[in-house]
Amino acid sequence: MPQDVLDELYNAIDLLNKLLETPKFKSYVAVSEQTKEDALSKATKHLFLHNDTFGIEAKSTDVYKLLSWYGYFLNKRADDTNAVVYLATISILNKKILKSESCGFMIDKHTITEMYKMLTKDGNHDHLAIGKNGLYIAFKTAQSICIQQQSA
Amino acid sequence: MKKEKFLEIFEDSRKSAHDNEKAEIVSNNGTSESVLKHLRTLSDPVEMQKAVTELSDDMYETFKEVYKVED
Repeated sequence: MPQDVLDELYNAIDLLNKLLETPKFKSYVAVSEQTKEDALSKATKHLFLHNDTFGIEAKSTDVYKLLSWYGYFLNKRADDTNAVVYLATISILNKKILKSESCGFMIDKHTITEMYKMLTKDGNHDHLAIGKNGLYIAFKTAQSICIQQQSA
Repeated sequence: MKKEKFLEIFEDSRKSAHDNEKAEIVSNNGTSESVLKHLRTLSDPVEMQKAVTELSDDMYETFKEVYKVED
């Protein structure tokens, strides 16, 4: 994998980490460096397991996968009662990643709020939750529609 | 998290991944060029700070709505 792709993936992860340190949110969530490293390790292991299991060989690492799964595991390991990590994750996926695709569209506010609420049910009401793979595939589906619209 | 740590963890996970030679290779282009181009702009600290401010304001609107938080 070219170094420049990892540089961009790092920027996406760094943006998420920085969002959690903003004055508006730092009183709601506590994330240590060790927690970030543990979450990244879990996310990257899950990413390679996913690609291996489903026989996926990508030209570069999919930022939708890395960011979705890093955010998921970070929430699981952080002191994050109000699920601020999930909110930051879906905000970046929607307003930075999906919006940067060639079609430039985003998921609407009501759907994002519903997605956020479904994420918060993970671990306590699993039958109502979307989970880490659901989060990824929701945005991947939006990207797929975006690409198809562009080529139509 | 420092970039060096990010790269170290990423490479460790890649090395420990199993090789599944029987797997069917599925076409997947990874992260698109337009997204990579945008993410590249975040290497500039000014652009990163702009993104943090923009997103945190937007996030807070949703947060207030869900948790009925008052300013």
